[in-house]
Amino acid sequence: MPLLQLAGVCKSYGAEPVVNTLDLSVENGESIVLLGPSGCGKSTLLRMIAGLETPDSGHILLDGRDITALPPHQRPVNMMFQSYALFPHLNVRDNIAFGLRREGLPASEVSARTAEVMAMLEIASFATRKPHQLSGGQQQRVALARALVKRPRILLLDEPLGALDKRLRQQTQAELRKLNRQTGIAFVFVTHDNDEAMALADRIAVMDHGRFRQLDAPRRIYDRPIDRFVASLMADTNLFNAAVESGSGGLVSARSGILRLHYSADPERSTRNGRQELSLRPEQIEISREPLEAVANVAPNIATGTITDIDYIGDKTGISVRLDDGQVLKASQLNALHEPLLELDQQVWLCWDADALVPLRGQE
Amino acid sequence: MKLSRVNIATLAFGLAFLYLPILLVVVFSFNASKLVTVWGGFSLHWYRVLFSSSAYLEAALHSLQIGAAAATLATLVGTLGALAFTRLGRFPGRQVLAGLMLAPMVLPEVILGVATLLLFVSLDIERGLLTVMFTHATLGAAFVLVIVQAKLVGLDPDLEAAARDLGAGPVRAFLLVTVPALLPALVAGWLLAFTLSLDDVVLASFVNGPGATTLPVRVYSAVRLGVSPEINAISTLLIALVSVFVIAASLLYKRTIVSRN
Repeated sequence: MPLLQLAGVCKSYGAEPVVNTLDLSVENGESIVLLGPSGCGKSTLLRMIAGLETPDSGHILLDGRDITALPPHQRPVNMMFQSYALFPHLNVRDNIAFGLRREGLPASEVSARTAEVMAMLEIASFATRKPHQLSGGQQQRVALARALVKRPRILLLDEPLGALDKRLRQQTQAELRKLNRQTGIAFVFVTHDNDEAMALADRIAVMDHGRFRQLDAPRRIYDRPIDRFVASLMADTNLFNAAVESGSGGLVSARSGILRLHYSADPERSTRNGRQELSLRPEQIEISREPLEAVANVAPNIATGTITDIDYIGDKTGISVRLDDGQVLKASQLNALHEPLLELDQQVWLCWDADALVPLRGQE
Repeated sequence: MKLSRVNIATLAFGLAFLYLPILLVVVFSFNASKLVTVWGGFSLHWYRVLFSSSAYLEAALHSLQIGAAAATLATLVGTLGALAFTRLGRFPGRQVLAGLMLAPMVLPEVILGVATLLLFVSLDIERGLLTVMFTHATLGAAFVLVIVQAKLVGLDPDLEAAARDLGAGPVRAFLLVTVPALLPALVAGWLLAFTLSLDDVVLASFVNGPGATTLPVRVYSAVRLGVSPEINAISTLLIALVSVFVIAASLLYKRTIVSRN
């Protein structure tokens, strides 16, 4: 039996559906990331699991028990808030002990468990400080400790790293992942940051307008995005809306401007009106200074053009190439030492694999 | 900023304009002479006279009782009002109600006095300490509402959600988290309502009854017969009391602002 099950959960504010008939099941110890732009309903979904919002219809089950109508203080789930929501009048230790005291535990157990979680998260040194005397990173650890000390069945995290700088955020992501594996507590994590989602998730649910666009492992979502929205949300990509010409042996050819694209057909992502949307990640494109011969089984897709933009990022370089018909392709390559630099206005040849072109489901 | 001569002169003039009358009252309250405007040496005579005058002591007691009760009621009502306006979202009549809650602040006191008097008369309520208390609470509640609402608006709505998520029921979440967070505003509001009540002559003289004379009303009626030196002594005590409360309220308000940043 899954730990948590959502069945047909709906919620609307006024006439606007915020969460639209969602099903989701979370296994014990699993880390699920709800990823989507602001206003897609991911936070509302999280708050419904916490009990802070009530679904208009549908059911929420925990260990098979229907908890839809259970108030938040009776649910064995805890939440880490985006604002941290630390109690300003209590010091760090009392903030963390707050939840244990509500359970009516003996004072000795409260202090033992509080001390334990403070040691684990290395916050014992400022146990007597008030929240406003702490840095953002410290506050975030206290908020995490306050939720963890309750030993919840599920830890809900609502964009808890948004206020941290990039380096601290990456460090915390790694720690959270470790914590998830060590404690075996299931995580439901809300974010709008695709890198964060990939770093933390066993599965990612990409949300838009209150629905899941795609729910799958990070690798699958990145490599095989279901549609244009998911493809461009996860990372930079080249999108084509190509006219299908012919298919032979599973390989389909289609035309986009002067480009002839060859890709593997996917019956699940069928064409519409003879057109097929395709996604091509920049790093799948190989760049060559020398002219390439069209050898169908080595590199079925070939193009040539001139470089219009070079974007050096350190570990890799992003390159924009304009084809003769004006289309611009984004390619990227890892930077190796001793490799001669590409220059603006230089002519280059591009090639990519048939499987690098991912057919997308047409947008409704 | 540098203190040039002009600045010092301006400052001195300003301070004199504001505080000279008060200073005179305080100084002459320690006057040994019976004449109010002639200095006859230092003495605590008039304080002794004051504390042996049962009429003044009784009035002072009334004022303190009414002030404390009115401030408490005002804090309760004002806070409930502030909660309704910030938490309930939009409800029919919200705008009208918000205006009405603040009406006692902008309405001339005479009108509020007449209105409440009419109310008590038509309801056949005997006028006394209670009627003054309720009238003062009406005025104080408007001020409390403004202060508490300002604090509530700046309060993270997730604070109470976090308390509930951590196992507190709605009532405990409110009492354990929201009330402590609001405490400076509540105390500041209470102090303000208390001083408003302690100051008031107009409302009290409309709605008080026999045996319910407050200190300011007693002083006012005494002054009409001529200023006697013990009035200076009462005034000095009142000034001291109000100063303590106002300073406490402003310190609390300042601390609220600092802790928010």
